[in-house]
Amino acid sequence: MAEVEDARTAWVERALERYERPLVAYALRLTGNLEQARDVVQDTFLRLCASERERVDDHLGPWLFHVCRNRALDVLRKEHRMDSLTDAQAAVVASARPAPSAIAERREATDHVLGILDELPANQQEVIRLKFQHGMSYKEISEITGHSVSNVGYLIHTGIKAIRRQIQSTTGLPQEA
Amino acid sequence: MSTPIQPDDPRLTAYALGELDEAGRAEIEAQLAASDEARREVGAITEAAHLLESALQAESSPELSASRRDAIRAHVQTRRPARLTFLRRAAVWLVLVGAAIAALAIVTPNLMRSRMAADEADLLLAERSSRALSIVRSKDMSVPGQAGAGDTHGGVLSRTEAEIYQAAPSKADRSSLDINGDGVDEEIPYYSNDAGQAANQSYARMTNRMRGENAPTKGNLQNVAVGGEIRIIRHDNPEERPALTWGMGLSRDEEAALEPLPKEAVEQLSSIGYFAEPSSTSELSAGGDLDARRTAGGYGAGMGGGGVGGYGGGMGLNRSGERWGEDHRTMLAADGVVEKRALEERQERVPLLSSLDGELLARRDAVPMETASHREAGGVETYELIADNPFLLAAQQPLSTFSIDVDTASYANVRRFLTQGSLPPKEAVRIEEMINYFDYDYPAPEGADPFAAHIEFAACPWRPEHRLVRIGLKGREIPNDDRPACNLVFLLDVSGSMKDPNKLPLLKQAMRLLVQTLGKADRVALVTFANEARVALSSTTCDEKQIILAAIDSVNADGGTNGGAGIELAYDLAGEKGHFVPGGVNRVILATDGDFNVGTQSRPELVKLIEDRAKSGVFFTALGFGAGNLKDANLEALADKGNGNYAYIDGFNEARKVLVEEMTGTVIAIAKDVKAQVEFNPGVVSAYRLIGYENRVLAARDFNDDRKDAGEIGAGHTVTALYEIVPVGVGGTVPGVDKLRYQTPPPAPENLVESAEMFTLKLRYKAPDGDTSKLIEFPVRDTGGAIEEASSDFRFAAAVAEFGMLLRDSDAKGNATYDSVLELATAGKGPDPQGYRAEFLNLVAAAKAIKAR
Repeated sequence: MAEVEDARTAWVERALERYERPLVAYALRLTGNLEQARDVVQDTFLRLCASERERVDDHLGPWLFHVCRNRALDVLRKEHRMDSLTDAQAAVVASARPAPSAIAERREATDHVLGILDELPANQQEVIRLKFQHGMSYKEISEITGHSVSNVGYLIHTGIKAIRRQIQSTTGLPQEA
Repeated sequence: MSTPIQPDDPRLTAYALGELDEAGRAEIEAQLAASDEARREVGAITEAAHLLESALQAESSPELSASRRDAIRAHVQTRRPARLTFLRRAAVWLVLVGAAIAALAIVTPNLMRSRMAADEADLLLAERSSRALSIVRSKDMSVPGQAGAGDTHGGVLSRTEAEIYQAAPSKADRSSLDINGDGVDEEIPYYSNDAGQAANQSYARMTNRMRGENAPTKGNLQNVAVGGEIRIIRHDNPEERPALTWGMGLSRDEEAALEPLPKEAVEQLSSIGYFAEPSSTSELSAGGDLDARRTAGGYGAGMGGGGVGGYGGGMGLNRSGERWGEDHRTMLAADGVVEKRALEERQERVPLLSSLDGELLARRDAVPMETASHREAGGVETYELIADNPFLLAAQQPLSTFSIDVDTASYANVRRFLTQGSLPPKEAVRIEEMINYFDYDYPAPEGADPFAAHIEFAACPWRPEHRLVRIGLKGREIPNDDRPACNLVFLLDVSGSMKDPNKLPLLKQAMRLLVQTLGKADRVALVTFANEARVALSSTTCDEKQIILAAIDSVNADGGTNGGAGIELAYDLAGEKGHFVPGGVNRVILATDGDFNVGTQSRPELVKLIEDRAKSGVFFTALGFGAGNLKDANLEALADKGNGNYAYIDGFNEARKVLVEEMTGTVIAIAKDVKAQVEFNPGVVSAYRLIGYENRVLAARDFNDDRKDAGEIGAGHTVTALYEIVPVGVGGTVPGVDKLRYQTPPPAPENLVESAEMFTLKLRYKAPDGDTSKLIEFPVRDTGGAIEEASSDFRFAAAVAEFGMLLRDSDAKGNATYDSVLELATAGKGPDPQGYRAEFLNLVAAAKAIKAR
């Protein structure tokens, strides 16, 4: 019994260690408010505590992101910052920018890319971030967001294309022949 | 091969990102071989992807706070996964099996989604009980379900998926695959496996291996580049560096880093909260309690339950409040007994508890809806960070100025944590509120002054070479019959989360009692707010009590929370002509579980609104309910700005204490904007420290500034503040203050007025309806002796302060121990007619037992 509890504690501890910051970053993009993002992430982990490990374990990351996303959207809904759960509306609120200090630390080139990324529709930003920031596969992104895998592929494809086009037009650097 | 691939085929991106399965990849590779354009396209995509990846992964991402992590950890211990009844299990498996078959057949990720849906469904089931259950079951009835197949599919499936989607070999993917299966994460070499080393783990937690990002570097952390990643590695022994450096790092002013803690203290520190196991009680209540009411759409709703529910887990919640109050105390005592046993017979504790657990489970099944919503600590509670007041040198800063505080919310909140078997987060412990929870037998003022000051000295119990000074204020008593008429506007949060038995129902019960004690001329109005604010009862005099009682009964909780509009409405009602009682008691009483969502208004705007409205002469009381979602800091700030007080209601006893017993005090202010300023005599006092009142400290110049808001004193209220004083001539350095480099020792100020007085106490206050303050001064000499000679009130207040310092793990706690607190409090218990002090003793015993595990 005690061993089981210890194992659970260690399990949650590992999940915290691995996903705490990525989830806060993700929730922050969705809610635009750090404390709310933390609320959402804390809540997500509390739900993890209440879950049966064997049903979560083999897709822990996507599970956490999925729960986190739902909680974040709940918060937005509760605050009437969003009337219903649609991507179009999520798009409006999700465009929160990172803290100025974070921006300042960024190097110029990456700064530029992120600036461009921020201009994309929020649902596109979200999948791109899940892919490149959080290392999720198309399939996992599909689980998290509920978009179909092919839709995820399309959003990422067109997103990258738009970013390339922007980089090209603003820097003049040849990105493609 | 058909038509040549188009450059904007999304498959090119999928190929570049390694998202295609083998067949898809082969197809694209064949295309690429035939098309220069497609090859260039893939190259450009890869390049852009790398750029994005490095840019995004370099982004800093904030962490949770230490207290939130601790809350989560406490939760793992107290919560077990929702236990599935047979039916629910069967239903969930049906979903899973059905999904598995579907997924295998059509090769989509639906399976995983369904499983997540099943998780959600599982939680939903808990809430909606059998009705939802049958829906889920019937939905999947067409699928031939075999529980056996379900049992194994998880592992099988993840392998299948791995084949279908050849995952991009990114770090994240690898790592999440590691977590598959047995849950043993072999890829974390720098994770401390020594579970006993709390500090070690906490440092490990700071590592961020997924991204080579700089975690906020604190203390003795170093960034070491290893294989292209930056890992943060801890170098020295945890015992050399108190856990403070990370734990409450944020709350602590680095400059205030005090003398090194003894090793023993470090060990204590590292165990605080971190491995804070639940006490027996919380295991009892937590045993499988379900996550109901927090499912889809219910964010934040139903988080409560802590105070009452976490404790009783369905026991006695439906009984009359009187009865419950008794139970509460009895159970506290019982708690202590179990704890003691846990200490002595550690090995036997688990079976003992689990059998009780089973018993409770059985009970819960009988009343599933009542208990399912009770959650104990560990929700989304927010507290303002508090750093202890440091020792200040009297020669350099002779003036200590603070606002009087009669709030008591912190004590009830601390009690909630302890009765649930966990230590409260440090930030939840406000020592002055704990001290002021108790009544002290100070004589009432004679003459015209609204309050009297009583000052007492003794040796400081936790550091006998220091002196402890108590400043006790006592407000004039106003018998209920003589008091001016009341004009009360209740502003009730009726959002869904207030439904819990320990919130709105409890409040309504206490309000009924209050109404019974009100006189005929008194007025009551009710405003409810959820999604919108509404007047539930316009201002009604108490000669029509039946109308008021009926209106109270008709208030029900439903909907979201939007407090902003409600507050305006409530103040409008209170200030209305004919309702407002000049010279009387005009007060808005806000009752909420603290998820005080203010719609378009931010907290500062709301505070401003209340501050403005307070000028109209309407006072403000905030009553906090429930747990888990309590925005403690929020309510306290509102009460402070609104000329008001804040109480946390954790049970019917407390509701009655605040609303009925202390009604004249809570409701009738006899002085407002009460500020204290103490001028210390550097000839007698070397250094001093104000205990508690951290968020009440004022600048010296604010004392005489009548525009600066401060606390109020109610009729008959006592207010107590303690100073720890280092007398001149006590050897050694002042704790927390480094030896001065350019002055040895700190020179006695010249031109010192020769005086044996230790300090002068100055108090400023305004009449409840006044704008100009009055000043009272008391010069004071140290006349006290040993702690044993002090009054029992003094000793009890000292014990509460000592307890608070232990809970806050204060650097100034000296040789304080739970045992010395018990001894001191027992000696200072006095007659204790209401049993509040006896309850305190139980809480100390509980804390001691929790700590000892």
